[in-house]
Amino acid sequence: MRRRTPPRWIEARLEKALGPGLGGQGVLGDLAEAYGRMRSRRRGVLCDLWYSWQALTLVAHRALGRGGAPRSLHGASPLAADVRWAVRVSLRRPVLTLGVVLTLGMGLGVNTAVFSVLDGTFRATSWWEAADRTLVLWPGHAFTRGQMSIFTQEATAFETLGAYRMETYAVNAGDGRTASLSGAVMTPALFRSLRVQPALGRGLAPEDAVPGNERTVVVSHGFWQRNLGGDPGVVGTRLEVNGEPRTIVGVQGPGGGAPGTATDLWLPLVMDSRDPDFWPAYDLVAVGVLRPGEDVAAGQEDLRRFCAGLTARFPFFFRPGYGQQATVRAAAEQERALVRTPLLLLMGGTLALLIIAALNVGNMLLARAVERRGELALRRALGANRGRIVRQLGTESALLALVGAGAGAVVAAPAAVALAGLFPAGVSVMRSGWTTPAVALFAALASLAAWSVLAGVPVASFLVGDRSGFRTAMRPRGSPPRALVVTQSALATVLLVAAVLLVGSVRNLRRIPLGFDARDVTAAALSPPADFLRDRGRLRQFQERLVEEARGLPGATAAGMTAAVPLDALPPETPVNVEGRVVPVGEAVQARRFAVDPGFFEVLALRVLDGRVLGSSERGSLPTAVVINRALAEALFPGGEAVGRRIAIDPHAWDRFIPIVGVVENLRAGSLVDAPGPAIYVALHEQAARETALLVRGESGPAGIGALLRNTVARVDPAVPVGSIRPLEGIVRDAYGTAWVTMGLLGALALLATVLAALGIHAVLTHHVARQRREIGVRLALGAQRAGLVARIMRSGVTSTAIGVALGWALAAGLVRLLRSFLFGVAGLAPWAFVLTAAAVVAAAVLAAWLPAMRAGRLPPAEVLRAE
Amino acid sequence: MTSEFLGEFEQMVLLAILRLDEGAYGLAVRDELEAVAGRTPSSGALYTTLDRLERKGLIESRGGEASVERGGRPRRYLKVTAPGMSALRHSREALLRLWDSLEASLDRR
Repeated sequence: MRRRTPPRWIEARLEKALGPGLGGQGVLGDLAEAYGRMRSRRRGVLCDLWYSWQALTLVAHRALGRGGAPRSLHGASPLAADVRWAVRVSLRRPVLTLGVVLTLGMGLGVNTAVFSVLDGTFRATSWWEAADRTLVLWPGHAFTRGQMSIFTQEATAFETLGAYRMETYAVNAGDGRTASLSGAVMTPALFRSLRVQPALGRGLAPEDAVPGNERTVVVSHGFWQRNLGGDPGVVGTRLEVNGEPRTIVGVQGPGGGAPGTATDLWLPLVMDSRDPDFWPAYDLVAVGVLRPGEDVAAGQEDLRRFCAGLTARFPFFFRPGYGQQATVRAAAEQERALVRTPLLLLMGGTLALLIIAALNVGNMLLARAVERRGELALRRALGANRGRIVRQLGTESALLALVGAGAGAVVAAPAAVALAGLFPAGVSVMRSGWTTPAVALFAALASLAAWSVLAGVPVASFLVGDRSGFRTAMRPRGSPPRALVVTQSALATVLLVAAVLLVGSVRNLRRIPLGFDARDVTAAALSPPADFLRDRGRLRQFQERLVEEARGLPGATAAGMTAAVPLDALPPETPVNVEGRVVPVGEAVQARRFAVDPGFFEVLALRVLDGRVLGSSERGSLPTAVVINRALAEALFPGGEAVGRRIAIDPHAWDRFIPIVGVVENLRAGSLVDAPGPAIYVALHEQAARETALLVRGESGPAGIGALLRNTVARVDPAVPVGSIRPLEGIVRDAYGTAWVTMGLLGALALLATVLAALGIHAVLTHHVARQRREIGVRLALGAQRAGLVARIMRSGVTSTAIGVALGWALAAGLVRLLRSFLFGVAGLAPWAFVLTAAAVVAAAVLAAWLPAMRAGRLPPAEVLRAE
Repeated sequence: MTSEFLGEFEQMVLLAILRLDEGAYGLAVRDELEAVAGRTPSSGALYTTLDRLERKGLIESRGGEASVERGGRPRRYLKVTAPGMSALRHSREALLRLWDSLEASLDRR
């Protein structure tokens, strides 16, 4: 049955507020009766809304003391009277008030959101227990396990030295479905340096890293809750990771997926020198915890000595000068370095926007105060002193700021979530909660600042007017308020310059020729179980059949396989020896060694410059043919023919030469910004790579093709788990890093700022014209030219804007210096950027000034004068 | 007692109560104001005014019958008191004196 009585919980609250007497009961009865009548004609929602509104007015009137003592001029407390007046004045112009509240709410909310992300990210507890002593060591590249084992023996400044790498794992989550999880393979010593330690069971221990014992895993608190039902008896049970059963030895405590923000698994890193990848795979991040008393310089010295030692020990591989790019960074700083500039930029941008918005609102309030100048004059004449009127204006703006802050609180939380979600995977972004003192303080200060601008504009205007006696207060003055227009256009200019620079930077990034075509290509990570390696025939059969099947998928036009997806993983380097001019290994040219199948070249549309690509005949266990890229061809055979020459690529068989069968175009493999170096391509089978990725070009999106790929892999060999399935374009986008997100957000802010500034200029001039009606009328009546009048008004607006733009430029020049490290290929402020921003802001100002100026020009003088 | 003039809304409410005679209670006053004066006050404005008038002694109220559609709550019937009547008269006379001789000039505008 439809409810015909008022919402019970509102009624109950209202009853409490009104009290049990006849007065309260009468009101509640009346409201119930009216609700029932309304309910027979209207929809329930509308009736509930009406009822809520009535309840609100009752409570509000009561709270404001209107129901209290008989009203008199002097009886009520001044503050209550001011608040009452402010409420009444605000409700008299509901649309304006709503606009003000929404503008302020958006401004304050977005600012608080950005600040909470900034605060959360910068104050997030480090991943490491001894954050102030933990360093990330980077010899210019990732470590191999072999290097790590040497470094661990030699380093003296660290009490713990370990390494990890991040991987994606296919995990049988119990319900038969395979989940794709992020996991860290790390040395047990390093695991003990993590801030968060197991709450159940134990962490990774040295015995886990003994070859043969490595089938253990520690799971995150989140994974334990989500997928294992929070079962306390989970320790000791089995979990299938990449098709291999592992024993869960521990469950991490809450509050830490580290390294990274979403790590769910920790696996022991085994240092087995018999592993074929022990020396060649550069995939480890080294982390060291300094001994107490040692400083960063000592860590740096260790790393330098290590690099020098490598050069001495392996002159074949490490040439003199190796290690010059080695860096040591505090781990905590490393975690935040990626997001520092973007977040600070955003904070600056949103603050500028808030100032512009607050100035606009202040100007609106000023206009309203002027409309009320009769009322204010009357109050003054009745004996209200100046302080009283200033206090009233202040109360009015405080009320608006307060309601605006409330609206901001509603906006802030979802805005922060959205903002944090915009950053690419792998960038560590956190949020602080609303109860964090810093966030609360920021929100309060921002609201206070907004209020001071809101109150400042009308109060300043009133005081300036009042100095010359109240009769003339707020009487027309010769020129519109300049400061407002100047400030707004300066801020808009700064934001526009920043946005233009970022657009330029991203455009430069996008202009970088990738060397391959990522469109419509989907990459699926495959991790066949380790025993595939012992049975090369099975591995090869699996890979060939899978590519064959993938080619036959509906919509698929090409398929291929690679051990390293470009821009996702960097393959190892190998020295190259040319037949006929043998050099020591140490002096040989180094090239990245890609292991790919014949389909790789087609699926990525790699341009073949000479010869042919690898064919299906290259299938022995040793390389029999090699394809090289343009960079290597130019390095080895400048100006000469490469195809047909023979090179050796195995330092242990330095005279086993294999023919170059083709030359292909360079592709960006490691990062977007580094120029592609020499590379060789050998057949996948000849390298026996276990971890590979299937690449499929097809028109259906990853959502559609993902399921198809999983099914196909399961059909070909159900023992092979599929890791993450991602569009290659997504991988490329992640390589752009935060530049993309920052450009988008700052661009939007700059546009908004320009529009708001234009609205502000428009409002200022409209207001100015309205105040000068009389003067304009007189001038026109005395025969002034309309065109001249229009020009004069436009000039007053545009001149102020021009001053603002110049000021903005000066500020922007300082900003460029701060931004430089974040920009790619944008050396400084190009003249065209200046011109463009100036043109945009001035054009907006002209547009904004045009309407009020024309309106002034069309004023009929006779009417204006009569009205006065 | 009658030295104070009535506010505009107070006058309207008092007049509406008079027009309703025996049947004057909150909701009826509200309907009367809407129908005759074209004014729909919010509950907050109306009931606080009623409370104020009663506190000033210009109206008095008594409990009435309860009913199902009122959720079992009584009506609060209203009646204008003698001081209320004189306050109304006082205000009316003042207004009429002020209006006197202005009707013609008002028509001209």
